[in-house]
Amino acid sequence: MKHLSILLAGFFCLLFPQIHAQKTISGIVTNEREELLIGATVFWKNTQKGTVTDTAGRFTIEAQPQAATLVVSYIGYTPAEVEVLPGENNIWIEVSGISQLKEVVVSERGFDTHVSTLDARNIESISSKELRKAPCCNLSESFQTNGAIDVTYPNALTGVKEIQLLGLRGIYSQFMVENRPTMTGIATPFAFEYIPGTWLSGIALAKGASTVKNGNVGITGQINADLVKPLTDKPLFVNAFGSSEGRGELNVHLNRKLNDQTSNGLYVHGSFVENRWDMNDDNFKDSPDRQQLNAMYRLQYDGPAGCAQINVQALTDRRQSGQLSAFVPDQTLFEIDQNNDRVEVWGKYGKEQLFGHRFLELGNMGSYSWHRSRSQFGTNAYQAEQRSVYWQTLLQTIIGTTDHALVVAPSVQLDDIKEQVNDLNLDRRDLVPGMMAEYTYSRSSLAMEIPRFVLVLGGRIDWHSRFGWQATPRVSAKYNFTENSVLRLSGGRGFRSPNVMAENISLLASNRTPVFNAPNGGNAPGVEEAWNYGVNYTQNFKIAGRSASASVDAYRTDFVKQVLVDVDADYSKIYFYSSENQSFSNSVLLSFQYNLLRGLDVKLAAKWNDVRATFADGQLKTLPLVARYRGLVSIDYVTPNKKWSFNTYTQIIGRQRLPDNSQVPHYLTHDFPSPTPVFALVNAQATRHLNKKWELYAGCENIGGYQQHHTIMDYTRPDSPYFNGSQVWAPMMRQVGYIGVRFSPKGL
Amino acid sequence: MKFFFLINMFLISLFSQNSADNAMTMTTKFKVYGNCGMCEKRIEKAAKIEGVISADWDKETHMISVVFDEKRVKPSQIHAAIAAVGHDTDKVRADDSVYASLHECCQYDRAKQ
Repeated sequence: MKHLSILLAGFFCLLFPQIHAQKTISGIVTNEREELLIGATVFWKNTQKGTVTDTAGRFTIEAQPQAATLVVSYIGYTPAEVEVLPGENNIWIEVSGISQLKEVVVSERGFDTHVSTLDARNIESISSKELRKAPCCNLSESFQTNGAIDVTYPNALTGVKEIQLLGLRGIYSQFMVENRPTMTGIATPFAFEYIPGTWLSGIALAKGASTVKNGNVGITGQINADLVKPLTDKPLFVNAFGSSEGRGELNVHLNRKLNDQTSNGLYVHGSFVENRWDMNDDNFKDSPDRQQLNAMYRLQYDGPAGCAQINVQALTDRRQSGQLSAFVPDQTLFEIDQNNDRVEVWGKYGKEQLFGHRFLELGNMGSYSWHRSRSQFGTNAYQAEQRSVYWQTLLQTIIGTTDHALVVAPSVQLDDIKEQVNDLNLDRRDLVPGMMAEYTYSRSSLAMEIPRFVLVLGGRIDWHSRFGWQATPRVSAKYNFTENSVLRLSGGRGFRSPNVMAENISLLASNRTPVFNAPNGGNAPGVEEAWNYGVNYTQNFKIAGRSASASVDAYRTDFVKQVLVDVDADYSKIYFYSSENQSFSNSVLLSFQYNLLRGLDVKLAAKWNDVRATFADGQLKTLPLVARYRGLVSIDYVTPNKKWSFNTYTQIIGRQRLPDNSQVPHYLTHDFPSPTPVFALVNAQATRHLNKKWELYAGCENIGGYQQHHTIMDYTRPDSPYFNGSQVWAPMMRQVGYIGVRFSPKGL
Repeated sequence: MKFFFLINMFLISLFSQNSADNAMTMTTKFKVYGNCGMCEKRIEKAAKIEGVISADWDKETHMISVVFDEKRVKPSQIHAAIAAVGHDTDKVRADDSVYASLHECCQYDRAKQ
């Protein structure tokens, strides 16, 4: 009997797990590196039956009687769906990072620019594919096919282009390269021209009050450029480009893997523009001659000790422009000569699972830059030199569960600027230590595969050596009504210390005298401070089985303090002064994308900007050279065999106000009507994908040939008080044709 | 009595070994790019590396279901084995030259890199 009971007990031991296994199934959840994920949500699709993974990354869930789909989601990862058949009782499920999702979206014919429904912030991602639709020789040109950012026209004298976001100048947004603030201070006017187009792997454009991780500037948004990396870029890539403007460019990328963990890359860009075009017979060159040599070296390590990288960028840029010949004999020629040199070194070090804590991550980044600008604008001399140091240490963790994430980051920024305009000395030294914290609430929804509600509360405290303590609170939230419709709200403060002369350097292309106070005296330029509030609604849907996406953005910026550039008060002066009177910008953008036929995408965008400020005369005036209405129509077609692609885009630019020219003699203002007429610009490009290694492209900018005939006021007399080359409201170049080639022996 | 006890222990150890084995047998599913029946044979053969118990690829859905021993092999090794014969998986991309050498009917549409 005793024997039997032992035997029976043994059988029970055997039977029990068997019974148990029939009722439930189990499994583990990992990321793409096969690291176990704790707290991942696992549930049966279209049910409320769910669970989360335990500390070993394992889960157990009630089995379904027939085939059913398991959905697994984890913050920061793309949710995975797995079909489970009866009999399968132990499943390995992998979720992959969001960055991976983007690549998949691109290859499956997603739109080349898209707004993610995952992020709490209104971030428009511009893929490298979108960037190839226009010649895109540098970052400033890459925004031409984008409805959110407007690019102004370069003036003939300095060739400086500017961007506008939410109707306000680019200086009110923050520019970053791989989440690191760069090209600040005296480098601001050239920032976008010093990142060559082929170096870009994508751009993320965050509109409105965004994260405070990287500082308190960025009132209207953040532009983050992602660069190519040694590990993922092609071993050899060559791009050559030539245009009828006398422009030539050559880009070469060389990447090499040193061992399993380390890789390095060298990226060289050379460009020049050389012509003696004077199409409007004003004796001034239509565009500056330019020579730029720009090189970057990257060394990256990714291994058991963490991720580290060290990068160096060095560039030199020369521009010459001005009069080709004088109208009056013996007159000295008006010439512009701009020289910029820059060296920047930056590094990063990051480690996940710090001190063995699974959810503790550390990131460090530091940079040092030196920039020198030596320029002559006719009789105006501008000399500047800047040394900057930036350091940030970032810690990321969770509070209890992965529903609550926290980031804290102390940082320090030092700018030592020496700046001289003629006899005026503008030297300054700013030291800004600061501390930020950001809390994210994000709960995975059982009914949906992405978190339905996400809330981000962030803030930072900085101490500015000239302006004292500054607090920057910001909040953003999103709510998904369904997987395809999302509403976002954001609001927050921004603060910046302006670099008045550097940011308005193109105004030196005139005989106006810069004055650093208001026409009625006082109010020297100080800090700028503003609040921004915004709402975005994005809806993805299908029309006749083809994907479409529509979105509405509405943003308002309210300045508390602003440095106004007054070009209306006196024709012979430019006043820069601080104002605490009403100044605001309202910007509404409607955009629609539709995949009309196989391979044919259509994008429409319409924008309304209302940007006004109260100037020293007490009047609330619309800012000059900001178009109230703008439109964009872009049509892209790829042939079914993918051998050809065609891209066209048309910009419609509404009326703009010019600076007040009533004090200027009438005969000089013929080409400066205010308001300016409405006009359209058409650009087209064709690309031939010859084979895996070669790609040829050719296109034409400004096909309609619309131009502002004269862009320099009183061009016959460069010594006249009315001489002014800064009132450019349309391109002065008519049709510009270009061709280019891309080559990579290992496949593009 | 001792005899029974030993038999029992033997049985328990035998079965518990088995049930532990069952617990270690895992199923994973992922996408493998391919077109035809020829691809199916090549993919399934390639997937059956040491530690893989069975592999079944569906040419309609492009999904492969692999049953494997968690202690002996990891999914990434299975991905790599399949990519080595020219078929991209959702995680590992096959070498261009191996892809190019595939039979014409197996030249599936590839995502651009």
